[in-house]
Amino acid sequence: MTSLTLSGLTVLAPSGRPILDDIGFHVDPGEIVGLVGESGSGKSMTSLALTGMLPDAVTPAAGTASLGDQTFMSGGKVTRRPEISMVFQNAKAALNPTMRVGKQIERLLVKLGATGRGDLTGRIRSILAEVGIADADRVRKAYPHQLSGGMNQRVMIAMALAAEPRFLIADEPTTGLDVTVQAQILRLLASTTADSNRGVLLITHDLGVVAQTCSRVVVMYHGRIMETGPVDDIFHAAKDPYTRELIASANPDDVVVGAEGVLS
Amino acid sequence: MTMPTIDSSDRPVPVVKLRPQMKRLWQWHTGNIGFFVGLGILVALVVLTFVVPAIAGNGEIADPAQTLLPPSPQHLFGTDQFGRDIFVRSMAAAKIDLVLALTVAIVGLVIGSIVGALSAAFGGWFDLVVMRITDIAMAFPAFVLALIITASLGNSATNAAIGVTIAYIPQFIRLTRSQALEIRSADFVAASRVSGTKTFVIAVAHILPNSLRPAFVQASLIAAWAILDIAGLSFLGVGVQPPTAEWGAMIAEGTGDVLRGAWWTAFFPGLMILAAAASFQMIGDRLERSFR
Amino acid sequence: MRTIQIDDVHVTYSGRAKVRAVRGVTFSVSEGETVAIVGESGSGKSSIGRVIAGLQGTSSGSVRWLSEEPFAPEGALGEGLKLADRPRVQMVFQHPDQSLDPSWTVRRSISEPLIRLGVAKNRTREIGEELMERVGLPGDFIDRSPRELSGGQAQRVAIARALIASPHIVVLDEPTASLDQTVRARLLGTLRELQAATNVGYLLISHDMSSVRRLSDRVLVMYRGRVVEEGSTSQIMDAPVHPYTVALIDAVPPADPRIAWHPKQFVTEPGLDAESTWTECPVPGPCAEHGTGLQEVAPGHLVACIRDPDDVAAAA
Repeated sequence: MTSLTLSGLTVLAPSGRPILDDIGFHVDPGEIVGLVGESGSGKSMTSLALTGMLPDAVTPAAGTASLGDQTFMSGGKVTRRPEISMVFQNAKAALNPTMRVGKQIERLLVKLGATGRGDLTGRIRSILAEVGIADADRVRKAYPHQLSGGMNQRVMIAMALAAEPRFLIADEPTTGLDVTVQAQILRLLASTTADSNRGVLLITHDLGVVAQTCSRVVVMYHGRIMETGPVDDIFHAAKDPYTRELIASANPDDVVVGAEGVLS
Repeated sequence: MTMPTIDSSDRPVPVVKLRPQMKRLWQWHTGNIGFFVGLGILVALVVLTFVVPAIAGNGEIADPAQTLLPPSPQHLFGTDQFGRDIFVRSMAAAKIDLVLALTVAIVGLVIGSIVGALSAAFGGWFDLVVMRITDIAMAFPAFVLALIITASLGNSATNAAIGVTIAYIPQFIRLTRSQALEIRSADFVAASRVSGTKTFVIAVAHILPNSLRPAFVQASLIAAWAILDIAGLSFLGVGVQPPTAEWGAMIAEGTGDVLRGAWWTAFFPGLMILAAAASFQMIGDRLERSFR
Repeated sequence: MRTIQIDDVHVTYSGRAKVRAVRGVTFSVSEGETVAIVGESGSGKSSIGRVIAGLQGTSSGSVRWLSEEPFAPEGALGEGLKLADRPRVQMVFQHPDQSLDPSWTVRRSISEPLIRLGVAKNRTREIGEELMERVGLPGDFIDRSPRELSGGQAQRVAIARALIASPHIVVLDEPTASLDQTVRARLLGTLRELQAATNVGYLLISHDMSSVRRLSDRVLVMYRGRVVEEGSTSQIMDAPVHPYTVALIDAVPPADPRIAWHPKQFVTEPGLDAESTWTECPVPGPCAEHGTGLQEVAPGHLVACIRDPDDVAAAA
């Protein structure tokens, strides 16, 4: 597996104002790096830029990115499709509602070059098992709306991993899910990352998620990077005032509800 | 962690702010040409329909010496078989067609939207009955329905308006109802129910005002069709009767003359219908786009 | 003190498939106290809220007021009004952008509950303005339209609307879920103040533990339509017994990397890798003896059996 390096990413709005201003960071194999910011900070726009999915209205002005030693972005524009898979927030919207889940995975595998009917079903079962779905047959034959949000999210992760990407971007993968399901999905992400030594860019606004899953953090605000560093430094020794404010707001005076005081 | 050095050619060139502003203004104007043209035509018609008859009368006076004259500086659209100036008559006719079209659109909108909102709010058998009636009504082309109604009521401008209005009410009901069904499940409606407000009041005070948008936009387009329908009805001899100046009636009167080579008797009233209907259509298109 | 009592309520939605959203829930809410119902999607907590607010009917079970006390005029209203008609339960909804009619001004929205009560126009205006102050909004906001309000401001208007006719109970359905962290804290503070001033009772429906801890006296934990644990806030938050409650509280990742986080899982969905399923029942004694219902494990602290009554019935 390889590392992702991004530098100098600048994207302009139609008015000429920079939406992203000189964004750059680095993710090593097996690392989960958190990209944190409030709404409007530009974190999602960054992931769109990395995968070449920027909306037409904005103009990439600068930026270089490479996966290992292969450069795939220059001038802010993606020059060759990188082997990056992306997991989105709303799984139900990302999956085709009119097609059974198994069929959608099958189509993806065929596009990736798999052959043979029996072989396919077996592969689908193992892909689903990898994301913790034991009853693969029931899930295969179901439509997305018949499955819960958490199940759909697992399917989406399964599909993202089926392509065996060299890097994974997860954009708010657990926002909107029940809190117990979120915990399960995060554990899943952590375990597949560790197993495959793949790097992950985890985009979120939830500092709890960042504190517990990421090793390094990039803090964004209004399209710029305010601070970058190891997770413990960011939470306990942040240098930038905005970062300090952000951390403080996540830990209100009365209670940090955590595992410590709870029966184990 | 090492970061590759940034190539200075990657730095963005500072953009002049003025250019995007001008570009956007230009895009807005050229994108909305239809709207301005439509509005222009409509305004011109409204002005002319008052100004021309004030100066030149209603064009009712028949002058046997001036029959079937081709268009000229004295008679812009020529004269008809009775020697009446077609331009003056066309401008007088504008009043009827525009007023009737607007009446159809407005009355249809008011009645249709109220019924649609009530239907969605109450549901149950009331909704079922309303839906089946609109289904049946919409099985007929609007013109045919208008024809049947107007013919049974008797031939007059008023009855033509009634016939056409009734023919379009089902569309207004449908449009309002589908929007109302969505609004019905909004939290503020639930809050109203919790506060004890009666369903009828909720329908009229909450649901209706928030469901008007699609019907409102469609009203302009329906006004365009109403012009075509009313003209069509008079062409067939139903609704507005001669000697009242009305574009469709004028075409009917002029058809015979066209065969004798006097093309202008039917052409210009037809052109008026086209202009008026198109102007409503262009305005409606712009409204629809701005609400999307 | 007036109390609303729910007894063995079942709510079943019929449709293409019958969904048993609430399966036998019993509890009460009184004026002056805050009862919280926590749970995730599919727990039935929203359905219960709607039942209490009168928006949803029950398939079985009863909802009634316990007290025989007449509803005396109090709060801002005074005498001579059709008080029996006044809504005894009001509700505040989750999404601030949907809870106010976008075509109505704030003034009109706030006064809606008073319409049917025959309150004079100028009296309505007075009451409305006073209430704006109480919920922490500047007086001139009263003529704004909902589009001109932020999420937190819209929720405050919704709260004012809920309180204007002096209800006994207000159902708060995830009132802060759509708000930013900082706004959340302030809104909860306002809710507390209002309760102290008006003695209104709250039924707080939430999945956010920190809000629950700040506002509630008692907590009910719901899972798949039934209450699995019930007790005072400190009992539930600091000493939860039922494995689902533990999983629920554990599941929130603490925003501090130095705190170890190893959430225990209570596997909820069939077909998932059955890792860390609990097999020990939180209720002392053999399951066959104590049945699947709630049992007291400490004064005021009740826990249900780990088995689901429907599963038990199906296996029988």
